[in-house]
Amino acid sequence: MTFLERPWYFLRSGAANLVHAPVLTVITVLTVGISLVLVGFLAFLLIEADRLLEETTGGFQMTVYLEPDLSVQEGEELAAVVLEQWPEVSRAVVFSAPQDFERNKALLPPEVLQGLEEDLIPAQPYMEVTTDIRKLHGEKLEQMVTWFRSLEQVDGVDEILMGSEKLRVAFTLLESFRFVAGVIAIVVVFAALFFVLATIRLSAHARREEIDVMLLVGATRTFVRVPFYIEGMLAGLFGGALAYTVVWALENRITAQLRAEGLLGVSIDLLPAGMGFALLGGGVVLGLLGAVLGVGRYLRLSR
Amino acid sequence: MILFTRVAKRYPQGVEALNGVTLHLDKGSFLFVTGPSGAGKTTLVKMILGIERPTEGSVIVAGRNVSALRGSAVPYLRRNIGVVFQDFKLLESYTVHQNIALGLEILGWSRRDIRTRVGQLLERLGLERLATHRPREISGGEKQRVAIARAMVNNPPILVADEPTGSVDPDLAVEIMDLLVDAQRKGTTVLVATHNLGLIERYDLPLLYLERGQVVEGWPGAPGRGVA
Repeated sequence: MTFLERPWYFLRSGAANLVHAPVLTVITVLTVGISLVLVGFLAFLLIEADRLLEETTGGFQMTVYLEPDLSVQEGEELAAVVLEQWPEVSRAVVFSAPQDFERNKALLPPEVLQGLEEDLIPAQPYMEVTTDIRKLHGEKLEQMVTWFRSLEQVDGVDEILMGSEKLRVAFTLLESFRFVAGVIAIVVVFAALFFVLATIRLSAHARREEIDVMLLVGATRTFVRVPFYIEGMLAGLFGGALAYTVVWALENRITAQLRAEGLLGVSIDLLPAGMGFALLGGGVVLGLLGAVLGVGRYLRLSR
Repeated sequence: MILFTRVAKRYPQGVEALNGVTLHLDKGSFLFVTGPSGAGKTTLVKMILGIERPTEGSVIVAGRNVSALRGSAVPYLRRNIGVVFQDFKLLESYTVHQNIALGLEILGWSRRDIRTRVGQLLERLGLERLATHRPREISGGEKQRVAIARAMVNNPPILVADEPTGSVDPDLAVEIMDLLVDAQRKGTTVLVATHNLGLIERYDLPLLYLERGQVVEGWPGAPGRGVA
């Protein structure tokens, strides 16, 4: 057999297996396709939820008010400690008392400013700490809040303001959503896996006579298995292609809808770079896994 | 080529299929194995093919100790053995040509070489016109000839036939036996398990008679015959 003849033989046999039970094949392809769309959609929602949280909250911010007599240099040393201690902190900037004064002054409406003596406007050095919300999952937020609370005992630190309550609620909701999405994704993937497995097992069962004869005339188990693996991978590939088509159609429809609503500036990207590869690759992996599980036990029983 | 030494086979339910069987077949020899139903003929054939392992004793086929053969090595043992069954075991979804070519595809022959080799066999066995037919479209005798062609396609050193004439008429049985004897004359070791006594009497070839799993020495049904 030449270099390409054996792969071609396997491909032919695998494709023939698919055609052998068309109804089951269609159900498998549909299941794989739908499961990939659902899993992809859940992943998209989770990513978007993180992004939305970051955008709406502007990140988790804390303001550490420093004692008035603390110099900017001493404040920056404290900021360096914060940055070193917490990789989750994306920014720790120290502002002097005059900068605080200017900021507060800018916040006040002109009518309030008129007649207000300048020494009544608060002016105190402070440090603004911004954290990356996406890194604050789990117990990290609580640990950070506790650590910053302990800073209040440090000399030179006056008071710490942090709006962590809303974030806690948002995190709780997000975690619940993440858990539910994970469970749904697992169930959906297992359903797809089950259909691939059942298809391959039925296919192997339909070909049991052929398998027996092949084994009797000297076929190795690998030689017998490979066409079934190809069958699974092909079913998965078609499922992945179906998922890609569905997502592509969905994106087109949403974009058309947004245009119809006059929202020309708004765009939605359901198929970012690599998504096609992920859907097709995911389908192939799912198909292969189902085939390995489906044909493995069947062949162990044959001699 | 085939060596059984005090071979016993007992199944878990207590059935004793073979008991103390010893036989020795050199390269290019022929042996009939006969006996009543349940005598152990099929078990013996299965042991040669590595389908069954002996409970006691040793089985050596084509230089391989079947008793100790790992599962992954069994296919390589079987590539030395052409096998013919009473029920032909032809694949209905394959054509005659594809059925014969199966063993060569497994061995990795090129398509061109397969075409040539299968063509030669079809011609030798008078099956050329049936190459594209499916097994259901040909007669019982033709099916058995296709099964023999499949068994011989890679020139195996050993040919094993389990009741090869069980489903065919007497004339065809002789024709099939002639093919097997011809293979033996060309250097193949041939073992035929059969209960067709008429056929055994027709050919003056060595014989092993089994009864309840044991070899019966000097079987009266074939006096003066060489016994393995």
